[in-house]
Amino acid sequence: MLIDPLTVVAQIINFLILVALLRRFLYAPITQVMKKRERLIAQQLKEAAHQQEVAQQEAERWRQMQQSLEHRQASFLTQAQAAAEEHRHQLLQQIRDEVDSTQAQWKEAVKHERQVFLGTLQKLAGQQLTTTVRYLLQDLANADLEQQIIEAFLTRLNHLPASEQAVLRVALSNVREQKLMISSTFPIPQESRNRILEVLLKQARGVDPSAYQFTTAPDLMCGIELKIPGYKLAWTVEQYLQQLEMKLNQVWDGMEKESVEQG
Amino acid sequence: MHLTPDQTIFWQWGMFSLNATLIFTWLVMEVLVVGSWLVTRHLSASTQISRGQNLLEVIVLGIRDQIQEIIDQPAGPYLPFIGTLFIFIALSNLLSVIPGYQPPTGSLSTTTALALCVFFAVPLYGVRKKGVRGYLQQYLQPNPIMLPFNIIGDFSRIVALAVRLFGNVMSGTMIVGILLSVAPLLFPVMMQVLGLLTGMIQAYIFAILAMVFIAAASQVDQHNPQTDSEVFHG
Repeated sequence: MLIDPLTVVAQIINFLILVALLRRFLYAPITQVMKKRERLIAQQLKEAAHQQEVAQQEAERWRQMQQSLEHRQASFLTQAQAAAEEHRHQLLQQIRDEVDSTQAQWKEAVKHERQVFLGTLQKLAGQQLTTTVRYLLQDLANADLEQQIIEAFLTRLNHLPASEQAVLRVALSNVREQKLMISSTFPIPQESRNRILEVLLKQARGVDPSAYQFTTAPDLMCGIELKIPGYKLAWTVEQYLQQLEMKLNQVWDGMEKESVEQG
Repeated sequence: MHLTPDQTIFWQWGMFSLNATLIFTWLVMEVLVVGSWLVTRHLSASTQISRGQNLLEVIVLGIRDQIQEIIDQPAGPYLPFIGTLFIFIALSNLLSVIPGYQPPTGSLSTTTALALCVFFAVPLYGVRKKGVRGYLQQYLQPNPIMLPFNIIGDFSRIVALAVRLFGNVMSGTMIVGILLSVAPLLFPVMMQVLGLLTGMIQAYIFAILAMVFIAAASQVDQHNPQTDSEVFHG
């Protein structure tokens, strides 16, 4: 017989035992561990999502910080550029001021040198002119230079314009205790002094003749000069040399303008 | 040559005999239980798991998915019974590659025992799911005239289950035995390989049919998956 009842019963019992054992040692542990792993994975996914969210927030924060930094950098750059520009302007202005100052000093020095030169020139030219004129007068007219100067002074004094005569009278009338200085480069002979005093006394009759004092002034350039407070009358070579100096100044000014324009 | 391992008796005391069917059944049981115990001693819930745990998880998960596909509800309550049916039959058939081993499933007593288990499991699961009244009412469906036919159907499918498994396994063993005497080279090996395939298929068919029968008896209009799960784990 193919079916053994006892074996059937034993196999049923065996199978039921096997079901119970496998449920205890296989299905329950495996199912539980798989559920546990699913929960673990779900938790890890949740944590990963949370961390991703945190990372995104952090990235956003860093992005904002970077933008802020870029803005600050741009602001600093703009400020630095403005400061540099301002500093450049200050330096340029300082350099311009220094150049202007140096130029002014240079011009002042040039002007001073010119004045010194002109003074020297005037002096030398006056001496040379005096000497030349002296020889010319001596050779051509057999005349003395100093005498001719006295004559020229007297001529000018005698032929003063009416307005100037009025000024001279007013000035002489105001003189009381002061000395009236008649300066000359050379000593004036007594005869010539009397002639001069005669002319002056005509102009102001109330003045004491002893108030007039004749002096020799070496620094006066070849001529005679009458000095009263408020009035001055002179005939000197210096007058002619001043015209020469004025002409020379005009020439030099013209040359300076040309050099400035040419750069 | 013995047709069934029941006839290979190792020890006998009166009417009780210790035959090859029981011996090899215990061997299979021992392999299954000890193997499961060895693996499940050190289970890991992390993503780094041992090969044995991986194998068991694949097997359990595969069986659970198959059950869920058939019944369309959580497999929890059915997993131990159906899973044990499949694993026991499959391992019994697979071990037939070992020389001297006789598969217990080649015994009509074993297949009958398994079929009887299914026979009793069907109403048990049905009553558990639908109640006694609800379960018994299905025998009167579609009308009371069908009652004897439904009862005959239940018995006949038990017989069909038992005989199908027995016939396939026994025939495989028989064919190998016959071919060994006729053509001892190559042919038995090929038939042995074919026997492994048919053994697995028979295990699959037996388990699937058992599940289908149980599912048919347990079918309700609405079910509560949460309740099912709690019943199994509770």
